[in-house]
Amino acid sequence: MSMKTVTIAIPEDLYENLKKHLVDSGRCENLSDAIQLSLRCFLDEYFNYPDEPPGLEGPSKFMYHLEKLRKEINEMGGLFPGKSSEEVIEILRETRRQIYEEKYAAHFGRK
Amino acid sequence: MKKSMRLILDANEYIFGIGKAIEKPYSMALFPSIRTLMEEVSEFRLFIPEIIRDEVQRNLAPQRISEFYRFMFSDERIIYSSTYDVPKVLINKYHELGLKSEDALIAAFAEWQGVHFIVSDNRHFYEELKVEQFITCNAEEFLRLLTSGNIWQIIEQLEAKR
Repeated sequence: MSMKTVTIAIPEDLYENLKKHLVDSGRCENLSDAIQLSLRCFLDEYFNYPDEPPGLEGPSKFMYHLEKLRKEINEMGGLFPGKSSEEVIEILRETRRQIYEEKYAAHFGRK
Repeated sequence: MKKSMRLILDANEYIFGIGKAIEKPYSMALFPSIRTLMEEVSEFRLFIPEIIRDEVQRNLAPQRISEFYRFMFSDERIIYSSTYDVPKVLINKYHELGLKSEDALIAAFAEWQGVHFIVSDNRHFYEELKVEQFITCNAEEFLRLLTSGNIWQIIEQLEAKR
């Protein structure tokens, strides 16, 4: 198999996670193997999976997965049961604030 | 004229839209409209900034995340993009307009990517953020503009200012 060398930048937390789970644990020989394995898993999981009707493309695929997601969520009792939409928005605002703190504050600063 | 539209849906629109929130019928109706836009608008793009993807993902059950990703990757006009490379100068601009850091990042991303609309049902976001570069509105207003056809004039005006 011919190989292509690429240089990529990845967030530090992703690097640490990848290193911990795949390299330091001994599951992969090195970081290059870990990244290759991750990419293959990703492509198989989201693009080459068997349980999708054949020939589904574009907007029809978009609606198919939307309805599938809605059905699965509905079967689990919905998202945020018992919460008003304003309460949900407040929960999401707090989630966003936390994500910013964890992933972006050190990079962009906070005001 | 070749139509184009570059759009961001805030995390609350995904949550209400995929969660079938009865209180938010317009958020639910956004997605069939996006399907129509995909079919009819040659240069339609739906951007998913990383911070919004993260926000939706953290509020979904772990078992649903794979399906959310399949939904997200279902069409090539849906563009997932890292938010680490957003120019700091743009983030500072939106800080100065009074946005919190996390909202400033999304607004800066929108300007950076030439987005026309941010649709959000978070009134703190859509009522407070009025700029020339893009329009912030809720799902109801977005659908009203789309149905009336006025949305295309607005996009033309935004493009003319760039």
